[in-house]
Amino acid sequence: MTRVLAVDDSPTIRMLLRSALVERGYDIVEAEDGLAALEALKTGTPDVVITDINMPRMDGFGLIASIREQACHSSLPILVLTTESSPEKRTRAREAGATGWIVKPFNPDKLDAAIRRVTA
Amino acid sequence: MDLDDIQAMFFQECEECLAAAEEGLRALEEGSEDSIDAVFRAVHSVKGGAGAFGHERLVAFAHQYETVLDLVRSHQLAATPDLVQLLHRSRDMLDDHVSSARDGRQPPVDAELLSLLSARASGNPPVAEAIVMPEPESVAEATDAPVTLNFRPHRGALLNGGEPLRYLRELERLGALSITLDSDALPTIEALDPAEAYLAWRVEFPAGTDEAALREVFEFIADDCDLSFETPAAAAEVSVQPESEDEFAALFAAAPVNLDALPVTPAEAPAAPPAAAAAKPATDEAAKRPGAGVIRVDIEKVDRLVDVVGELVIAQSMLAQRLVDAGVPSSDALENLSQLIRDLQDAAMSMRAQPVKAIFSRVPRIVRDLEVETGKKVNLEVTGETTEVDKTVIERLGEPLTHLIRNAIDHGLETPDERVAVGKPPEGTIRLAAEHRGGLISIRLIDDGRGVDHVKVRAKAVERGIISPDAVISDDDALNLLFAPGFSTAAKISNISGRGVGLDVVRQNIQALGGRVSISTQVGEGTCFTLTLPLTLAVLDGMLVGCGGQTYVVSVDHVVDCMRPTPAQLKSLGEGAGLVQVRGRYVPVVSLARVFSVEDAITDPTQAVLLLVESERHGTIALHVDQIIDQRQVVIKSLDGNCGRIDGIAGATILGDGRVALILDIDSICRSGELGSAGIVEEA
Repeated sequence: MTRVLAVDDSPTIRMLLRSALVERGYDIVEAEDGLAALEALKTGTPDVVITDINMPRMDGFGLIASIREQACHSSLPILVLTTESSPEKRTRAREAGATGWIVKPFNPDKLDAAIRRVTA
Repeated sequence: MDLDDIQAMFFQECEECLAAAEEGLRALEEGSEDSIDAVFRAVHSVKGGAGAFGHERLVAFAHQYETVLDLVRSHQLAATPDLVQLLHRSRDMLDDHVSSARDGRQPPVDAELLSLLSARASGNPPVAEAIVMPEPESVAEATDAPVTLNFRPHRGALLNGGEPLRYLRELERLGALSITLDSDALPTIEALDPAEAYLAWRVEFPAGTDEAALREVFEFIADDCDLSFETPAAAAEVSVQPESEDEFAALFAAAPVNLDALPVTPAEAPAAPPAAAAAKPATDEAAKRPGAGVIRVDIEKVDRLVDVVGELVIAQSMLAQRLVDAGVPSSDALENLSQLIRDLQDAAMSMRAQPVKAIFSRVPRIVRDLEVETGKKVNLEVTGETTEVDKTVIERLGEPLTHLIRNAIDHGLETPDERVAVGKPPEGTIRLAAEHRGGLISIRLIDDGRGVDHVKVRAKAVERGIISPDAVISDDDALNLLFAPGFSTAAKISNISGRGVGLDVVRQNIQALGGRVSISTQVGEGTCFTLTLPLTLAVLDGMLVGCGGQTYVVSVDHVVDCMRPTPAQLKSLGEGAGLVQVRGRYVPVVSLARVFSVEDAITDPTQAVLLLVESERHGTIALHVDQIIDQRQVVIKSLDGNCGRIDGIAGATILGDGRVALILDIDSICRSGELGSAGIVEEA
């Protein structure tokens, strides 16, 4: 089963992600911000990380940078949750080290497709 | 969990976000610039979730609000007092949006605020995000010719976990017939740069394959690769396919990504660099966020636990009784068990305890609304927000508290002009303080307004026929007339605190919670309302009294004194009614046996016990019972479900020996025994 680490400070969004992913056969671990996500990574490497940008303590960009600094995770697929898919957002996400993005509010099928695309 | 459950959760989250936003804006007013971050995140969270459930008007408003907040946090807009006021109003409007979405009502009218917000946002560089529109699905045109895809990733595409193999696998899943490698650009091993991209692929698909679906595969690296489609009939070529080495090199010059300079910090200011983020005082955030130490539990589960623990307490006391009856000497084991169960009960009850912040956080908004309505300026001071109270108490405290605040601002505080005329600052002050006091919660609402004149209150009471003109009552009792039904000192029923919803309803509500409300005031200086509430509604400190072989429970809170009267202290008024003289006052004697028609009770008060009990509305009475049995904590069992409301009974409990004891409702018993407050005579 593909393991997803879902990082978002909104419990609602985490619940929506869980609801969408579990019924599509994914295994999901939740974290409420960047620091919690890094803790979760210590106990096991997921197949993909999905993260929001705006979070307290450590935001999405901080999280991605921290992950990429670790050699073992330099090619870990990371998807950011963003509110639009403009060129600026894309560039910013990629420059920060994200593999791809998912637009909020997300469509569960597109979410599924995006994950499969980066975890093949 | 279905979508409705998740939405319910979302609305709960919104409550927390809106409270956090309120707090953040207050902190911002007090000079803490960083607090704007918290406000932004709160509004962002509300917007994010709302979008998922289709609350479009909410999303639209939140979006505009978020835009302005973003400009402030990126220092493109200054947080002037003016702007902060607008942000406050917008937070209130967002609150209204959330409420109406939750209750299924029409969204509030927000046109004015929207235009004010967008006026602030325009004239600034576009940092604002566009509202998400659902992306139109492109319809592929079927052709008969096979579709060929040429894919050449640039070095940028290989970064960040991008792996061409994955894209190719996905193409396979979409029905690729063949994949051909083009390695022409691959140099010799000496010249090979491992981070460079040299390979390209040519993938063939059957006729009719949707081009858009294929393009979507490369969505994430669209800017970092050459992607072109060949269909014999199609003239359009989006290819940037290089024909020569020079063009190839030129492509890389144009590509923005430089591996060495891979940025660790994002381009814009808002997100702090990771080092700073980690170093940022965790205490600051920790104080505001429950953080990792919190789990969400259904209130029903907690209630069930509390119930079961309550039964455990009863079962344990029954066991203790049996052992005593059987002559088993008491032992450490039993004492230990008893202590453990007490601890368990405390732990269970504390789970339902919440900080009063839950209701206090609504107060600033109420005050703001009233400032607008009355034209008065109010300075609000709140303390003791972390004081914990049982959840059920919190829920029912909101309305009475709101009413008291409205009263204080509407009637208590003078207008700025009036205040200046008497040498007070034009801004009135309202203080809201919560604290634990000896097993109870005390919530005080203090204003520095005009105070209450007991002379005027008295006069009004006479006018309303509440007391007779020649009644002699103390000043304190006169003040208590404020709580009498049908009372209002307002010359006209104001929209805010009128409508006949008087302080008597406030008192009723508080009493229903097992608490009391009292008032103290100083003319010209101000007024203080004190609400005293039990920490929990489930357990009671009770005094067990006997009457005709039955056991009853009186809340220790209400008991002032107990005595065995001498004949000289008793005064009969005929027809079984009587008074007892105690400490210079005459107090009506109420026989419990008479109230409940209990037989075999001790009829002579001088052979019995008089319990002096005090109620809020009906003064003090002397309750005539047979004897006092014990004082202990009892678990309150409500009779409402089984028997409905019974006059004089507040509930029941099960004693250690298995018998049921009724818990007395002191208020209604006092009422049945009172001779009218006008009848209480004070001895000089």
